[in-house]
Amino acid sequence: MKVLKFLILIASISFAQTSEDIAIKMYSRLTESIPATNSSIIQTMKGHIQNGDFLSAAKEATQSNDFYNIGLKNFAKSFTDVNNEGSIRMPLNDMSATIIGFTRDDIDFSTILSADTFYRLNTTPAFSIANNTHYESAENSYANLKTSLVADTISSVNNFAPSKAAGLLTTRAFAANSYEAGTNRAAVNNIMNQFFCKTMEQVQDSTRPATRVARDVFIVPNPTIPHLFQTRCSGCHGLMDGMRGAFAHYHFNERTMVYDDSKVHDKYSINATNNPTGYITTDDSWINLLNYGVTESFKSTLLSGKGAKSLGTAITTSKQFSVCMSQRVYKKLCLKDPSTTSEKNYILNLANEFKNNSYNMKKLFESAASSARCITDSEGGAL
Amino acid sequence: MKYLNLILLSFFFISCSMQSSLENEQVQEDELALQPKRSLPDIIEEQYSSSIGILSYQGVLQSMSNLTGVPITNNRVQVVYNDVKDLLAGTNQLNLYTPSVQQGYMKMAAEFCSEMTKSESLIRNIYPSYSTNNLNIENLVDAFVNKFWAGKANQDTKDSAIEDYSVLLEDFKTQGVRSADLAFSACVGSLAALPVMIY
Repeated sequence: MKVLKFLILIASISFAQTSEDIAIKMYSRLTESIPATNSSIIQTMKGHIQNGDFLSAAKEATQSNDFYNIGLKNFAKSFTDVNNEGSIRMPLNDMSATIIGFTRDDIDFSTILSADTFYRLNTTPAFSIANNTHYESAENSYANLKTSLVADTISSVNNFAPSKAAGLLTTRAFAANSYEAGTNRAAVNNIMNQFFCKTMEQVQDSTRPATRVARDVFIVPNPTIPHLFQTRCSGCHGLMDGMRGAFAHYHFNERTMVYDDSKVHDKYSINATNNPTGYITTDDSWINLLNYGVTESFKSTLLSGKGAKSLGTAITTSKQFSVCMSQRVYKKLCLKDPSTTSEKNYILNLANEFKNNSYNMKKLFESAASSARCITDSEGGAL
Repeated sequence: MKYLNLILLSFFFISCSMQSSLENEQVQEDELALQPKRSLPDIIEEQYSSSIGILSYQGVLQSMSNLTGVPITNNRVQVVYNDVKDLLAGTNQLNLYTPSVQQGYMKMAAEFCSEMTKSESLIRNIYPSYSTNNLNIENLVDAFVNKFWAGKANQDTKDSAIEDYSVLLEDFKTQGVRSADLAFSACVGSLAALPVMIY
């Protein structure tokens, strides 16, 4: 009964929106905060909305400090939520800061997994590849992310060639979540979750070629179930093992990402007796099997390459990357996943627009905020 | 005195809100009885949690600062924020609107309002006619509710809150409560309310 009362109370709060109400809601959804009373931004947004110019209104909100310091920051942090718990309690780090920086500076987001660029702050203590203190300290002291983020090069701070830098894939935060111990398959799993908005379970398909499945994957995991490898294991490993070669030289040694060009990391040859005929990783080449089976609609264009940088390009030029980014922005603004046919069509339109706008993340936010019916409550909205 | 006011007003306010809900409850239940049976989670998913969120801990801090004009770096605010941060929501999901979250909001609102009402200029940002003598309670409450709840509730809801709230504060005024404390009460009662916390 308490819940029912609460729901009814919330229902009583819904009402016909004035232009100021829409401005406040749009601002709140973009910034995850309530604007100041008598806010000049809200007054300007209100004027645009009265003129039917919702896009300009959204642009005002994305210029606010609150957008960078809360709304966009939390959006960026969600990419580092490896457990997909939806929490934003993790600290700011080089990965989330880079997403904010790319958005602020209108950098082509299709290079987010391949560029030799990351963002740090112009604050002390100085950036270090060995810890996250720089970012945590800046966040705890409320550094203004709109003004204090500065671009830097990944290759220079890690002391490797620019060709080995792969945007977020070579940030310390991604490395800590993906290259520590294990087999580096976690990197593919994280890519799938964060940049394709899919779990490995959702994309598993045993019709894909298993030619890249490595020796540590049991060829006969259970003698009582014939063909288990072919019908089940290869569904995930075919895809994962095809891609993980890209990270053959990367490792995370508890504090720092390590790149060793001289050899494939030992983790690629563990438990080799499990499947003696399995694939032996000899370099950082990778193959992209996304165009097969259940992920055919991902429409990847780059199907093989060497190293993390080219894999990053393959990921971000896939159609599913644009769809996933649009879906994430939609969820942030509308607080729900798209579920109806019209919502899903809307996401596809947003994804096309994102691509046509040179993968500009800020414009994606502005476009979604100005057209999403969840903000304007308008029947004439894009849905 | 401030905290006594706060507690009284909080309960009063919540009960006012609930009372207006209860008036519609019988009708709502009758209507629900006519519809195909759905589970409560289904109803929440379809109607509410899908389109409404609550402010996360960072959002609460910044929003209360925006509304009151008290900087987020204010020392006393920081002490309370660090104390309740873990109580506040870590995501925007409405199902996290728990008693501990509400307790956290309440403490934050109390500290922001306490700091705000130390400054007459900050009070005047909300209520320009603020004076320490012969304070007009209804106008004071009207200013806080309308500014803090702007874009968040319909006028009927706001008018109802203002009316009920003013009656209570008039009583406090009659008892000799200082203007700054009355402003504090008006501030915390409207700042810790549901319309501010959801977005």
